[in-house]
Amino acid sequence: RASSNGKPPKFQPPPKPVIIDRKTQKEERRFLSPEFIPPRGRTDPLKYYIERKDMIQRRKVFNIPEFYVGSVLAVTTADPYANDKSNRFVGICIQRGGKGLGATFVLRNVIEDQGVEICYELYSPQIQAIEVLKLEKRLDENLMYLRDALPEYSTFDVNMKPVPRMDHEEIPVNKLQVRMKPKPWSKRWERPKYNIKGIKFELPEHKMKAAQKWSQPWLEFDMLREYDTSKIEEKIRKELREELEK
Amino acid sequence: ERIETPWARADEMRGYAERLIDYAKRGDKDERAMRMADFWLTEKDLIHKLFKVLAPRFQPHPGSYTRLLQIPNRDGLDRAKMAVIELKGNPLPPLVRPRRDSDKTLLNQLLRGYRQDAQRAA
Repeated sequence: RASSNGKPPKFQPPPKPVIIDRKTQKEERRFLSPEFIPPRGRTDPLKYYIERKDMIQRRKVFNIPEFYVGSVLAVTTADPYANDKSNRFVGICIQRGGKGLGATFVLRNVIEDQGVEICYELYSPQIQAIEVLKLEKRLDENLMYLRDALPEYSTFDVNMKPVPRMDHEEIPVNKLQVRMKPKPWSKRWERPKYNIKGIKFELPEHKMKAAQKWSQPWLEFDMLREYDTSKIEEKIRKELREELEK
Repeated sequence: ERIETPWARADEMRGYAERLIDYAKRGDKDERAMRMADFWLTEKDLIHKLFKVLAPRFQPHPGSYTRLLQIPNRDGLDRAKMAVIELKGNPLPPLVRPRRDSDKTLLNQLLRGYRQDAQRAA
């Protein structure tokens, strides 16, 4: 700036850069795979401890990425009868089941107008690679209703490129409301027992009201059904951290 | 504070009562705690007692807040197995009188002798 006095302008130091501490935020948001959490029961915790050790051993050798129900994955398994001895399948994860080493996930895709669902085991040695093409969450934990939805919601390109994701950002929640094929469905998804939020119900009002007849409002107040996993999760996270650092 | 019911009913109720007190310990302002208390306690003045009297009483204790004791069978035709379930720390007279060991057991006699020797030496 031209000075009015004739003296050189007063030195103004540049504004200090604002350092956003990303590391502490990253520590708090940690993903714990749901198969690590032991189910509620009277079995010896030793069994779960041994299983966890085996799971960690497998994870050290083979990387199982973080994914949720509703994210698109590509899995290559070993196939003795294929030309390349490997088989690649791309699909959307509709459910994750099982605990411990038997943890499974079901991938769904529609190939040449035929819906295909394959249930893979996470810790199976036949799996050679798992790649997350699109990491996102959906409104429900179980997307089995995609079987009764229009096929366009389950089709995913087999040669899809992985969607680039900003590192360590929030996982996007896809609030997609899926349109269904005309009734009859394989399960009565409008009933409150399934508690589905991701369907755009185009049923008439009286049908929706009739479905509410099966609602059990006392179920949310039933205290003995609750399973508080916060302390268990903390212990397991600590264990995982220690083991993976070795 | 104390109630006499069939044993099965009391046993089932025990889990729910203790979880309700755990919810009450979270505090009056907690939305979920208030909804739970509102659902389970049909007599609304008991909600006040839960949050103002029982929650502070059991604040230091981490675990069991109830005591379940069996009673002779019911007098009617069904002869049901009855039990008394009570909250610990209640103001009513105690059900169980803690019996101290009699003075004539071997261990107590030996301890008495040891105490007397110590007093004589001192």
